[in-house]
Amino acid sequence: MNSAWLDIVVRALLGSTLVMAQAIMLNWLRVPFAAITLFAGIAAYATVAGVTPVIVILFVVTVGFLVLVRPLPRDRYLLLSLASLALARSIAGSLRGYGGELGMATSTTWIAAQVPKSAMPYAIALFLSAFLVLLLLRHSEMGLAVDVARAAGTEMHAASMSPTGILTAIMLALVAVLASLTGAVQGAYPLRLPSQIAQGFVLRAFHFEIHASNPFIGNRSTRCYRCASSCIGCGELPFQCLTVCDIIVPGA
Amino acid sequence: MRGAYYLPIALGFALVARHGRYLPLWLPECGMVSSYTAYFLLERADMPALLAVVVALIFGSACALVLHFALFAGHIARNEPFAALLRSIGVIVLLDNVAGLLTGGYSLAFTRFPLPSNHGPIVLGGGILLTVILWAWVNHTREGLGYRSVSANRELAIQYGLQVSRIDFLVVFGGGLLCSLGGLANGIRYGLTAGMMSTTGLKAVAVVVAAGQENLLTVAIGVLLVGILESLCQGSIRFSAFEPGISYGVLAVGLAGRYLLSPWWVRRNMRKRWRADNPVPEVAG
Repeated sequence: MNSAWLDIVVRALLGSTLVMAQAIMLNWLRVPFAAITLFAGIAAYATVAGVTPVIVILFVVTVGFLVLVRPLPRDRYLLLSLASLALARSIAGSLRGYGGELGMATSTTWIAAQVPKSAMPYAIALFLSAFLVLLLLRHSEMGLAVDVARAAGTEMHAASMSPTGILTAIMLALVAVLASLTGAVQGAYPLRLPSQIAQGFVLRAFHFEIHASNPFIGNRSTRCYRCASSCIGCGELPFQCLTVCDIIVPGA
Repeated sequence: MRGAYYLPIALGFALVARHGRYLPLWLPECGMVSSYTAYFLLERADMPALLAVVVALIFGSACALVLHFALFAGHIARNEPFAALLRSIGVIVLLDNVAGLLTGGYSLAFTRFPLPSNHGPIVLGGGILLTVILWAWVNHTREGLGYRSVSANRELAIQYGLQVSRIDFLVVFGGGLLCSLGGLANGIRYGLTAGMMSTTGLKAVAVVVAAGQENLLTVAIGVLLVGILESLCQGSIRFSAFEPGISYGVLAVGLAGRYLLSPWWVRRNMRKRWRADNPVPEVAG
């Protein structure tokens, strides 16, 4: 297969993993959280720069968002999560030690930069992991508890039947791990971590939010197959195809 | 002076946000509609400048009214701020793409509308005057009382016979006019791009959310301060890249302050008062 198409597949798999992680928070728990790419971005920078204590930062960010779930109204929470992406972009751009606005050249030993075959196993593993989580949510008792927790937002009786806070914490932690691992691969795969990566994160998060929200608004969200297929079909694949078209046919 | 260009947008946003009890992220986009209309009337249709500006402002405000009544009035009536916010994001993406399609993605600039040399003080003075007039209207007039009543409890205001639909019309038209004015000022000063109001509008939105939409004077001061901070950042080589993040930092700190620290302060003060009212009796011996 042409390496350009393999590149599309790798990027689509990684992007879809992030969208599925987003769907876990938004569709299953109804937490309007759009900062999934923040974890990916921090992990990508950490991978390229080789900074291990970034785990502490990721932990603090996760705890921060968890603490704010309850006190903030949903629209404010969504706005805050979007603002955190823009803030991260500004901070990353102003850190001269990490390339500033120019970004950083990628050099890792575990993935050869811009070689799709070396990144493919990681991309497939992450995609399947996210898909497995969605399947478990669909078929396990914990998934049932999450369904009840989701209903607790509108049903008084449901609130007493499910530990909403603990479930939110577990899900957010799971999502943070998934997104961080995806970000690590996303950071190691390209030749250069793009200078405007955080800005791209913000725009993509808007798209993720809208794609992930569509089934949420119509309350048709609990089928993981549909969700996963819509993640690939609606969200990521056309975007990647267009990107590659731009590369193959200049000016297309 | 940069904050002065954000000021009308922030005021218009605060006015409509308080009225509908949601975040009308779409409203600043009326400024983009107004700017592009003014550009096409001035540069392509060769219309006189004053007439083109007036038509553009009216068109921007009319656009606000149409969008409000077609897409958001139902959300306000049903008290759905989150759904309205998501729909606002969709409207922003749609309008930005339409503007991009109209111009082939290129930036535009007004060539027949040169800025006067003292534009900064004029915009600042105008912004401060607007703030004072709006504050006085909201807090010290009969119409302002009606506006505050509808904002506080829409159903009760309807039951008491207030003309809610008239207030809706006036507030959205006023908010749209302010945003159109801000968008036009920004367009003339910084040029036109498809996403010109998404970033500029979000800066104003950040301050309004952090300061609270009911505090018009605080919003005005906050917006001017953000403008000053941005100018300072841009003047420094080390911090210039952080300039777009200032308003988002204000938003994050403001939200944390309003929803996390504020209850903490309330709790602490209540505890103090309770201790003062119920002193612990000293045990003798």
